[in-house]
Amino acid sequence: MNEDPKLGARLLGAPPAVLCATPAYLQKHPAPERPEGLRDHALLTPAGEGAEYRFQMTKASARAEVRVRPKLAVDDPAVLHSATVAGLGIGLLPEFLCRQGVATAKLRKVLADWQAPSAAPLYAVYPAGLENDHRVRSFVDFAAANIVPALAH
Amino acid sequence: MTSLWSAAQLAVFARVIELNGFSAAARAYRVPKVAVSRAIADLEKSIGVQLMKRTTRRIFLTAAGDAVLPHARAISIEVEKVRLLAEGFSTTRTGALRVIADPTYGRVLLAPLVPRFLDSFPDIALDVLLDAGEDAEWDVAIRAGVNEDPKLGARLLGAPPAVLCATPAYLQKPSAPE
Repeated sequence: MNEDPKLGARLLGAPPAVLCATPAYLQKHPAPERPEGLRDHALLTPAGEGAEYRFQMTKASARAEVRVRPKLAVDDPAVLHSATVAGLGIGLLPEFLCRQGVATAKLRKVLADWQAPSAAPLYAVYPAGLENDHRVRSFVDFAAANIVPALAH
Repeated sequence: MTSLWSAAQLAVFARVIELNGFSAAARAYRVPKVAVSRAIADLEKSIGVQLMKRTTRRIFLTAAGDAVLPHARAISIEVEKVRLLAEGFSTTRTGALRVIADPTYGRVLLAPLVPRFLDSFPDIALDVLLDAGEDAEWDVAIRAGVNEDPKLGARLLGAPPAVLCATPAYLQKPSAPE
């Protein structure tokens, strides 16, 4: 198996993401009322392409695109979450990671009526040779049908 | 020298050297470490020479081990081919399905999924690892953003283009293809 490890992948979907920050941060830096206001904030985002991160936000039929230079761009959602909870700025986080923080008022949603860009898409990856294995197939099908709906608001 | 000794023991020897450790080989084979030590000891006893020396930190090949290793590797590849061939003929595999995931995502994603899966598929056992090392073998991995892994990204170029080039925003639309 180590000689020829071809892999197959199934897209499971992209978890919804939200913007949030600590109440302490928002007391010093009042929350923006429109996406454009994000430019005046310290932003914590997933790693984008280059130094800028493009926020494409929607609200009903309204669209906004804001290019920002994040204070922290990191490809690990756990680091992003820690930085947000530490009060370093407004973080763009998978909703499921900050659900508890919001529920316990440690975090507050920002621009909550706007839809933020989704988090990195999730994949189920498997050795290509197991594509037709009934256990792998059952699990991947089940994950595809259940994971992302479970993460939705 | 005993005349009956097994190719599997040579394969284990090759694996221990490849992964530089008895523990790593045991994890790869999903067996207790003592089974690996035993296989090596039996092999050395059968062929009548010592193949490796162990210190607490490292494994050293003896001259005999060095000479045997390329043959052991060739045999281990053949053994693996036979295993895969046999798997292809067997319609129902048994044994636990090993699922790995990044700890951050895994805890949140798999916690609700696993009990429901086990409930829906009573004949499939799961073995879930959230801190799997590089060498761990797995059947399914749940990952965020496959492109972050250069090895995987390169191998995935043969996959359907939709997997590789659709944006997350597009895929959230109801019209996105399944």
